[in-house]
Amino acid sequence: MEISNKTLAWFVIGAVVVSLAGTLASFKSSSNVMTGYVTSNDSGLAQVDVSQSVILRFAINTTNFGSGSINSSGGFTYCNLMINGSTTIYKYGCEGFNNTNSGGPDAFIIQNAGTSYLNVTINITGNASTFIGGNITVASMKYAVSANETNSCPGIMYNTGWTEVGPPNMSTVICSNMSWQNGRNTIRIGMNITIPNDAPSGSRSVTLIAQGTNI
Amino acid sequence: MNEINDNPNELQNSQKGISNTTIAVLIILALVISIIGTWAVLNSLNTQTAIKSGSNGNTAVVTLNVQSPDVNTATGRITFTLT
Repeated sequence: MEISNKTLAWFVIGAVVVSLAGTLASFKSSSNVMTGYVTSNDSGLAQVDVSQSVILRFAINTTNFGSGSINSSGGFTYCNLMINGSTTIYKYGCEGFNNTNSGGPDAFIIQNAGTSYLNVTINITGNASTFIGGNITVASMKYAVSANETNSCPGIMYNTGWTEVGPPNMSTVICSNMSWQNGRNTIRIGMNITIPNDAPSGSRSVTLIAQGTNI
Repeated sequence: MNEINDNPNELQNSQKGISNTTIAVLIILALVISIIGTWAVLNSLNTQTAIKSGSNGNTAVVTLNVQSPDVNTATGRITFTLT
């Protein structure tokens, strides 16, 4: 069957009408649903929740015994130094070793400045043999843990008496549950060293690393 | 010996190279594609409308949950000088 030109013209007109109708329908619909439109009634709310923070810091991060020597003229064969929360350094058999820190000497103070209870460990990069030297039966490097503020460690506090530092870099738990509440979130670590008279002279420095783990 | 074609319509079509029937089929095809395309666009917009209707009115709520690391370390130093 042959299609006339008139029929073809009607087809073309129909196609144009359908196309225009579709275009108009699209424009009409899009004006109501496009989400990019902003009206005076629109508002936004951004909510940020920080569930917990783990922040362990040193409130006092240096134990500095200063400079001095063994009081050999006084007949002493070793020098014992101790810092554990007092404003003065305890000294026995020593000359010098006057702490120069402003505000006087103090032990390490570790603070739980976050918002979660922590399991706290420490490790020290040296011990009596590597940090002090000399006669190893005399040389000693000890630490003692205590609550700087009452109830700062409601869990188990370890090594509350003077405890010899173990092998370098060995982690040791000092508090199984350290509080973060204000007024009871600090722990003190006192240091006690004994220097034999045959220890090599010179400056010494060792690092104490405290680590808090969320529990 | 060649035959002489005396039909005017066939002569005209052969000169055009494409018949009215073929053109009609192409137009109908374009019409169908246009209808389907329009339907697809409208259907897509309807889907967006549904998404918008499902949100909390005109208020967008973005919740960001920040979890800090579970471990933190601090470093101190012990020093003395033996003269």
